Amino acid sequence: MTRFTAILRKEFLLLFRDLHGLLLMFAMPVVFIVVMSLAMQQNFAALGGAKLEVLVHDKAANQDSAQFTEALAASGAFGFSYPASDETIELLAEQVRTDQASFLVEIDPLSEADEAGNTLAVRLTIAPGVNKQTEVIVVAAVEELLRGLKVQKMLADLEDSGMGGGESVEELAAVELQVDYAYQGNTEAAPTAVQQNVPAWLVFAMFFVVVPLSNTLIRERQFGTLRRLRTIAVAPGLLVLGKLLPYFVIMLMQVVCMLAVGVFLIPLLGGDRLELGASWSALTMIAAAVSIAALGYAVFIAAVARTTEQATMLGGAGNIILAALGGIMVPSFLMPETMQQLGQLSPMSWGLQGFLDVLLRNGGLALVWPKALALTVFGLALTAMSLTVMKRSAQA
Amino acid sequence: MKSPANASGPEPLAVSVRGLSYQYPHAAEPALNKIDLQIRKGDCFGLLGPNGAGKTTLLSILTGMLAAQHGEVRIAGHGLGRSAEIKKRCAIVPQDLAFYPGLTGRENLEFFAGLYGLRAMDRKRQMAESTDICGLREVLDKRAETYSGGLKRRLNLAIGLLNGPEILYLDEPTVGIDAQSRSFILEAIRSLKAGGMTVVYTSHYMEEVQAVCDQLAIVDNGRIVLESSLAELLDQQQKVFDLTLSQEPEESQLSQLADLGESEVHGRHLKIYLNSSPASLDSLIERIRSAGLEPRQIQYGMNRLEDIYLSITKRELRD
Repeated sequence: MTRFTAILRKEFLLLFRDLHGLLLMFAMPVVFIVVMSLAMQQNFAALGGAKLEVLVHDKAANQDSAQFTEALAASGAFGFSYPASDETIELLAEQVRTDQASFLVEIDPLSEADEAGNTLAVRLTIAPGVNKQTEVIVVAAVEELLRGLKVQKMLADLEDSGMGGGESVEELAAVELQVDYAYQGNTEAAPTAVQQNVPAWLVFAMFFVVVPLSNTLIRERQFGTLRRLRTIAVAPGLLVLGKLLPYFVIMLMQVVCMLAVGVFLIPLLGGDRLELGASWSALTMIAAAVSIAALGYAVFIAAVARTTEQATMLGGAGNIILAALGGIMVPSFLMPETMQQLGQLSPMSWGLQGFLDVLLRNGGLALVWPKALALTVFGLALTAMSLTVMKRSAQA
Repeated sequence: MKSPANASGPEPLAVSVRGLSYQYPHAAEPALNKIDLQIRKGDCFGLLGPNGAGKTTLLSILTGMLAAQHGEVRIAGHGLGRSAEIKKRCAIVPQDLAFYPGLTGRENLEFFAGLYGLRAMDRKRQMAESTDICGLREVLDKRAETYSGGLKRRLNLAIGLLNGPEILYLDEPTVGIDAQSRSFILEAIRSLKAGGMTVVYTSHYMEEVQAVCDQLAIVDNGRIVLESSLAELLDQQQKVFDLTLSQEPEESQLSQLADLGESEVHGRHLKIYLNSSPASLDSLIERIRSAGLEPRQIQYGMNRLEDIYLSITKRELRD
């Protein structure tokens, strides 16, 4: 057994016997990924094609109202529910108020067209659970449909009066917009919750290596083991490498495990399957880079904390702040611009974007390497700085 | 009191220190101030001193953990510049239980043996030897965190023996253990010394130092304030006549003994610091009886190291 294998063996034994550390690194992200992916499935599905539940109460029941509801249905964004005729408007309003339906559309007839030429009075009631973005989109869509109907009616009137240009109303009103999803090179599929959540919570969990690693380093310092190791003729670099390499390996196993959760476990639970992208090399590169950054962060916390309790608190709280800034907990696009810029400072943001490059954007090495480089430099610089601090404090 | 034997004795030196000084960054005073020290090969050398006296700093320099700032240090004939060579020949058993509680005794020994770079055969032999000396065979496959305090101390010692060191530094190796374990460890140290190993022993338990050491030095405020052979030290210091009497002595009885030397009384316990050596022990006992006192138990002929230590380092608290 060489010196290096002795160090590796010791470190692996300690790591595999640290049940709490393993639970933190493996069980926590599995729970996060499963819960968040399944919980947010509807949110992502709404953006990716599932329909918003709309109750339609058509009191007009005439040609115009039929045309309006047909147009709503044709937009593909709404799932309609036409309540039984004996259901009162109060009952329908209650369903919306309690979020059993997202929207209620009441269509009332106008005896004659109003000044603006409208023949229908449409009222839209929005459920309290509907987010602002969806509300804005739905309101705009309904207004656009009403406007379209009005234009069609005007064109029909023109045609009837013989002033048309020979084209039918349908041909005049027709517009064509091609919608593509810039997702994995597949223009017809939208990203799913699992595609967003697996990389986010994976990066978050990888940084939690701070707890077991900083605790073992601090314990070595507290127990005097580090002092003893320094009296043995072993190169300090070998000790550091032997200490960090097993954690690096465990973190790569963590990546494989979490991706497997996305690919195999989530579909079993009724969620979408994680698509891994095309570039294994880019995936490996970003996984290794996040590992190096997280290890550097862990060594830094071990250097500045005096006790394991301090390290656990500092490391855990630091992780949550880095995650909040880095778009792990709240997607960056929901943040104000200043916060988005601040978020760029979080290594978790670099890691997350690197994983998303591969898993969402179908990127390869060329897209990933700048983030991987930044993470690696961050990790190595923190490690070097921390080791200097530790060496100085050992001699003070 | 300097031991003249050290300066001119024929025995080769295990450790030689001349003019060693060390000051920590931001410290007002040096931790070590022009220390001179010589330790002969095969001796058990006691290094005593109050907390903060400089013992740990001295051990840290001798074991290569700290670099000397001023002065010359030679370990087993090598200057500190050859730290790798020195580290091969030395080992320290720290005061802390410096091993991994989550590993078994065997796994701890295998790890440290691996770090020493021992080949398979040597590793096996050294592990067996260390295990036997420290009486660990029965518990080798249990996790160290389940060991008793005494077993942990013995594992701590066993790890220090793995590289078969020429010089073994023991930093308070018996702190917090029961009498049986302490006795076992002291016996192990005696057997190591008998095998030719040089042992540098620091402890606050004076009776332990008295039991195992040949030479000793007392460090205080970063200086060596005394260096001597233990026998010489105990012999040359003022003799103490220690008695337990049948009854508490009265003032008038004590005044009859005033010419013998200063005395201390604690109940039936009488301690006389003799001004001069008596002609014989019988004559001394006769003087006590003539003062109307009846001794039940007497102790004479050797000083207690603790008394000497306290007289040199004074009794004021240090921390």
